[in-house]
Amino acid sequence: MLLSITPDSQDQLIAKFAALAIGIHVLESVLPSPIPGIKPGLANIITLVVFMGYGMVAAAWVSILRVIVGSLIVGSFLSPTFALSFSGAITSLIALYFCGKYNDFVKTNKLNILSIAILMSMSHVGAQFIVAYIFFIPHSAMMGILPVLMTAALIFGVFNSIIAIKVNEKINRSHDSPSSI
Amino acid sequence: MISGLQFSLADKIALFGCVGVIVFLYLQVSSSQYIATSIEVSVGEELTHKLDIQRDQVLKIDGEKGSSVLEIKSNRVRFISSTCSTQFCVRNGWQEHAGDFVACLPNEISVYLPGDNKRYDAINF
Amino acid sequence: MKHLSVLILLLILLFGCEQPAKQVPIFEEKMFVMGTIVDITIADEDEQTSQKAFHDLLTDFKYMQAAWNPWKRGSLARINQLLPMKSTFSVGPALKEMIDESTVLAQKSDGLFNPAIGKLVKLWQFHTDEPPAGPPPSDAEIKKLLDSNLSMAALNLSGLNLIAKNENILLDFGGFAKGVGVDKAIEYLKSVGIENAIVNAGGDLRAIGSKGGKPWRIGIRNPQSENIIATLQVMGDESVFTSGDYERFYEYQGKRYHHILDPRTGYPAMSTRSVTVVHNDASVADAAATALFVAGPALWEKIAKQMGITQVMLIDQTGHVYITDELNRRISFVDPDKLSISVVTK
Repeated sequence: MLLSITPDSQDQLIAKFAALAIGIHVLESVLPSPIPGIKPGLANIITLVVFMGYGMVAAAWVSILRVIVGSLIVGSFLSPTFALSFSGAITSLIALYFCGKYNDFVKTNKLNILSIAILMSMSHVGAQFIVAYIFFIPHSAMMGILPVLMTAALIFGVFNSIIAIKVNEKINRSHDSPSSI
Repeated sequence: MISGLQFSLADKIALFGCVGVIVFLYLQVSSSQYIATSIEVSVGEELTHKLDIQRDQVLKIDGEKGSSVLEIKSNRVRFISSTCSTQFCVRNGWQEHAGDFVACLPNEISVYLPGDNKRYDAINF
Repeated sequence: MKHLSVLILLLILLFGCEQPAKQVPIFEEKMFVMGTIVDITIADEDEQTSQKAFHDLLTDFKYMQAAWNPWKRGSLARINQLLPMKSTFSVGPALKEMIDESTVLAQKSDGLFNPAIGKLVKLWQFHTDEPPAGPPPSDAEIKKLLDSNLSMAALNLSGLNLIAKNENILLDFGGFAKGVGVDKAIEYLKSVGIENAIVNAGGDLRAIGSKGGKPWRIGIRNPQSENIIATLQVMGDESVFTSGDYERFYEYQGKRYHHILDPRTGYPAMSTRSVTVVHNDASVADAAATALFVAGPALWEKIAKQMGITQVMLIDQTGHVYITDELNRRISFVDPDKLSISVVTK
């Protein structure tokens, strides 16, 4: 008997978004970055968009798929780079989860997507830094770049969330007039 | 720029907190800039020991007129005892920052914490 | 709101990073000489030039140390041997210069800086390298010396010929020789084309030029502990000299006697803890720091004016800080709230 896995519409959605995220991730990995370790993390835009439209679970799937498949394509699967990406992704998802739970719990004073994005990006970079420091470069000079990394995380978090909002608006508008992504 | 993006109290707290964390990190880094990592001990003009400030130890240095004992503990170094009569070296206490310097004149034993980033270029006393 | 937060973020980025100074090579050498540690810093020169300068300066300092020791074999010791004979003899040009310069400074300081009290210094046993042992000199012994009116005015120097009119005059340039040494060292550095350096003789220093365009950062240490109480940025050509009661002293039966003697009383000057002077010339700064220490809170303003010193900080025995307005404007105290400060304007 063949095990049949029939993808439902939710799966297809996730797959499409994940593909998009992976594509962005791979492209971004080709770009040079002025300071080592600092990337805009544009693929996170997709994570944010998916979260805004489809919730936590979907966003988590897209994010993890992006990290795993992305590293397979780039060739860094199970390498130190992968350990860094993965720990960063997991941590930012945890942050996202708690932000979501907070927003569900509270009736007013919710967190908007910009704050969520910043909390995600800073916890992502923070986790990566800790992993890098403990396992790869336990040098006191590392501490010197942490403030810079965190500043970049904050700025890119803002940047990515703005783009995510715009993309989200476009999607919503296009739902009013039917078309597909 | 973004229409419809509201900032609630929670947002402001979150943003303020994140910026605060960053500022704190910058301050941490700039204050720890002057931490020394090694110790240079010289007798007269000659560099006799280059020690790791992170390794606790007590050692005796023989100088010109007598000897002095150095203690390295918790990333700091000091003269713990000396045969000299004035005891200025012992009185100067713990040294821990890059650029710090203490010496026993009669024994011609000097202890210097090298570093590129010194807090002061010279000390007047 | 959005624009404002982005602006704030950018500003934090901008000011959070310290602008690095133009990176110039800096060479430093410490030498045990002149009875202390002389620390020489040279910026913006190659290693070879710097090393040669260090070497030459060490030689010069060793020479000065021997020549200007009032008691051991050397030019000054010889002078001190001949002075009590009250007949004319010749002195070398370097010492003539020191006698002339210090005579002027002694006069301007109303005798509070007085190199002619060598015999008094010897009485207190501050003339040896070892700290004095045993009791301080008796009141009678001190009074006897003071009565003979020890003053630079009792010397007559014409050309290179010196004669003393008082057999009790012996010269001790303790509060002056370091300054002269530092001046000579700086002159030497300038003569070989080095424009950016610090010569720091046991805490008393003169700095010229800058550190790659940025001022030299000088830390001023608290007389009581090893902490820095203030920072000063110097650029151009400036000396920073401090006299303190903690540099050379001994204790006898619970009382502390330090080496800065008050020529008027014959005893260590008791009202001051330390004096810091900022001035171009190191030799003037050295003499002024000594004189103002003796002058104490009562007379320092008057003496400073007479000596042409405008940047002074005096800490008295209670820890109170007196500071001139001109110095106060450029100094920054590490913990101003912990100090009681009086700012003095002209």
